[in-house]
Amino acid sequence: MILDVAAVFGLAGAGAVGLGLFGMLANPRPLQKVLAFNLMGSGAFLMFGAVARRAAAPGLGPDPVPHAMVITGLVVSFAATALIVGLLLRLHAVSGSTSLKPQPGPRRAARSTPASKTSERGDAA
Amino acid sequence: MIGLEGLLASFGAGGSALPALPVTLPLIGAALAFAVGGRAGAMLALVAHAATVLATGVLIVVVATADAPVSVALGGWHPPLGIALRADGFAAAVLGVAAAVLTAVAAQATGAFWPPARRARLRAARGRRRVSAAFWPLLLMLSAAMATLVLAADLFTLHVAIELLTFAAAPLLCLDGRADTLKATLRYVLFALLGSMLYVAGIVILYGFYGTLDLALLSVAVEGDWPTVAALGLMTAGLAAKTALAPLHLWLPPAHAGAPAVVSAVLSGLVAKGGFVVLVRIWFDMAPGVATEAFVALMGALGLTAVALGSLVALQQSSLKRMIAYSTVAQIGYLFVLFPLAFDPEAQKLTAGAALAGGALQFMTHASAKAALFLAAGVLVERAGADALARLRGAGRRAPLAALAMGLALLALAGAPPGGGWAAKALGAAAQQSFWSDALTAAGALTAGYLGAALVVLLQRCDDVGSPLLWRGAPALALAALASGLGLAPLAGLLPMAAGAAPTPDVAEALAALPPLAVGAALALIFGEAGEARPRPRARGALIARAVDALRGAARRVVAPALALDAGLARWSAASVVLLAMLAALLASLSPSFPSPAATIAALSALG
Amino acid sequence: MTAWFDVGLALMALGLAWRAIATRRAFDSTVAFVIYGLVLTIAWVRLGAYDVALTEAAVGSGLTGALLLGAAHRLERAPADEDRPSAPLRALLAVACAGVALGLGAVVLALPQVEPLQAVAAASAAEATGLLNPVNNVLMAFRAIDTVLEKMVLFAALVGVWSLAPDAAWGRRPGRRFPPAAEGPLTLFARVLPPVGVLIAAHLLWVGADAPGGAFQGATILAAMILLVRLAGLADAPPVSSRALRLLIVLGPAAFLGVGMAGVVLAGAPFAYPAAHAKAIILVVEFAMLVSVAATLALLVVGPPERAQAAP
Repeated sequence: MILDVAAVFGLAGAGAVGLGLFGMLANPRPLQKVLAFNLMGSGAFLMFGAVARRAAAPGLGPDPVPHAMVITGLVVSFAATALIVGLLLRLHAVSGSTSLKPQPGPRRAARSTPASKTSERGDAA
Repeated sequence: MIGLEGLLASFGAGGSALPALPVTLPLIGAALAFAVGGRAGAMLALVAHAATVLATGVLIVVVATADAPVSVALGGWHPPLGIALRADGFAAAVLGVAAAVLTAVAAQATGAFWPPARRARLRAARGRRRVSAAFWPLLLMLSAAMATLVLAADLFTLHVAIELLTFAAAPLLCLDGRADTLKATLRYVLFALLGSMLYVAGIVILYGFYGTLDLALLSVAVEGDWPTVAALGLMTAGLAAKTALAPLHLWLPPAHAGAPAVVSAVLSGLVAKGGFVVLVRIWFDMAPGVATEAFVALMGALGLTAVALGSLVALQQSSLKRMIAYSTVAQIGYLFVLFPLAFDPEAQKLTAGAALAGGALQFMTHASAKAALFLAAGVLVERAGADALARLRGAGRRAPLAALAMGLALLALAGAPPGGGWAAKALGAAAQQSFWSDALTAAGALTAGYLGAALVVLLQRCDDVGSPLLWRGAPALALAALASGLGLAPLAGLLPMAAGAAPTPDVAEALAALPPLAVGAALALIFGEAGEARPRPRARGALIARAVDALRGAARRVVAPALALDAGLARWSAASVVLLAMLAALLASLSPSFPSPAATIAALSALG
Repeated sequence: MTAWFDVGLALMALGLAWRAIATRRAFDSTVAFVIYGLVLTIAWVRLGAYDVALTEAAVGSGLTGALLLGAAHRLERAPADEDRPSAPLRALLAVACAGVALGLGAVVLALPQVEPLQAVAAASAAEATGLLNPVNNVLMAFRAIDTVLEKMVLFAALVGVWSLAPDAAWGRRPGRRFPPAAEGPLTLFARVLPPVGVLIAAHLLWVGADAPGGAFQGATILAAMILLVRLAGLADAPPVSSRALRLLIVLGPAAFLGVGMAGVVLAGAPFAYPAAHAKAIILVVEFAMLVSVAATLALLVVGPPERAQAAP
């Protein structure tokens, strides 16, 4: 077996997936969970790059289909990151913490109509 | 010059651009609604939704009358280079119920989510403007994502669609901006993304070995070798996390209980089941032969675990929306029992027969009944200003349509004819896997139990009746009526069932549905008033009352551990371990060398 | 020689990835992540994926880095969220994750040397669109629906981020206000670079038809320029209630969807282009997307409206 460029970066991608998975599961800080999610994604995409490189045609370069999918995937990951960062900053503004631990015990008297809630929302800005 | 005829022909069955419309129309509507904004934007959103419903209706009729699935190669590029949209009976069934749910949700949302008049200058109007500006575009994008999820025949397109579904759904959960709904949303998004990445890793492997992600092309090429098993294991675990299959449900109850009721309706009814749709595509359309007896048994066992855990926790909830949210956990479990029911042990593969038809019916029933329950809860909770059951005493008398909707949804979910749940069970029983279908019957009793317990409280006499909310429950009632009449719907043209296999409701069937309902009624009496600790004066029959109280106490002690188990599973670290363990179990069960459960039992009994 | 370069690069990426998840301070781990992104860019070049390399540098490392650095800065004083799994549990998770990585590694080593069917098919179909860049052909023609959905994902994220505004700030300008900076290098850059950035973006769009580049990569350059101008306090974003801004945001996706549906009538299938004008139509759609995506990306980094009072 030859350790060519595809294999080297494919293995690096596999490693990044493992590291990202560990970060998402074991790191207690939400912001670093987001970062770990990005690592996991980029690792999977790097494996895709290795796949594309394997399917290179003589004179044509690597398979372009995985490359296009990776670009799409990177954009989707960015959108996800932006949404999560927005949620985290808002949570921090509202509660002063970024803890994701749910409050213990059954919640009491939760309102459900947006109209009634929006009028009494705290202005955290 | 292209005439009207040419236009119609190209959109008709011949040109078959039809499958693209449920995807593109709502997306165009979302863009327009956002750009225009205000009341005009919301009106545009409704128009776009109406057009989508119309196109979906035509598509369903075309699919039902055609012999083969209606498909279109987008851009004229055929797979593997291009992407095909393919509408089969399962897709039509899911699209139909999704259109119904979204229509009911939109109808109810024209109340609280309608933008205020332009002149309104109050602070509250600002908040409503913010909420409605997000709600209508996101609802339409959610509709398009759901349509893509059932129509796209390409694994990567399915990935993008399921991400769109997640990102359209997530902001809706926390429109109120409270800390606990923000937390619930974050947990949902993070866990869903974890699932997505496992799914992506799986499709990378499949592309690496087969050079295509088209479902039809993969179905002829796919083999049960170890890289394929690894890919399918990763994808299945990822999708199970996304669809909140217990014990990976940590994000669902707080998210769905905390969101506005119309949002919970569409999230519980449709979005939570998105991952399941993809699983059906993967296992029934793409790799039915890779499934093993151990794998389907594992899926069924996970499903029954979800049913048991969700139902037992729902029985003990003291707030209405939390109870309905846990009922969603249970009903996602129901769907997974499809796998053992549809497995053909002789051919050693999953078969798209009556069991799959039953699964589709189960999907439609749960989607419509669950959305109906949340919409009804929204009406009931709105007036009371709280969703604690103790404060909802008698609320059902004020909103009789909502209470009626809850009752009908109960009957449909508990499996009374002619509801969809009953028809699904009848079709599943035809598969002759008696253990799994008996388990579903028993689960119906639990459903009747917790929903009945809520109804008992809602219909109690109370002094403060207030002004009635007569018509507010109409969308919920319409959906509940759909759920409880699905068994009569002429679905034989859509779903894969043999001619004449469609079950007919008769007296015997109605009588057969009675025992689980009776058990449910008993459970409702035992667990009713769960939120109440008020001692009642008992002048007469003290002995009987004491006996009943003792029985209640004992029953509650028996099911109490479910609450502790659920609280433990809701921790991120516990969910992490469960996810990895599930991945390992899936991989082991899919490997050809893994002994089948039947063989294991035979070997053990031989030892004994 | 080159093999060792690749191995070194891969090890460096893994080391940085480890640092990104193992460091306690969010700021440090974000910096490690940004450098990791740059290393990955070189890796993509080594894999012959120049379009991906551009995207990774611009989005994977650049914009994601900016977003995360900003968040790390604002959350620096947030109390630590110590729901940390116990040490034995972490060890268990580590072993399991290592198992996943090893399994994936085994898959990579087992990858077959497949026939380059897709690459050949993509190359032979390129004549139909007139574009020579194979990746752009896949994005704009063969898998156009993926690209449309991806743009809608960005759009949905923006709608979602805006919905996180406090009620009092709704309708106003997004993000914090940066006061005009004193004359210095920042303002100089903010005045000189944008025209250059616009040129580069247009160039990337134009050459993207035939060479690496394209609308998305151009859009990230434009977005960076917008952010730079804002950072220097030279201009502020328009209010989120501005209809012009909203039109700008949906222009690209709407144009792509419109052209896609027009394809039913003009070319016989949704998202098909009439063969004679394919390249021109694609370039027009790409231009619309360049503008919309640039605005959306910049606004995603800026965040929701949060100023309770209208700006003076």
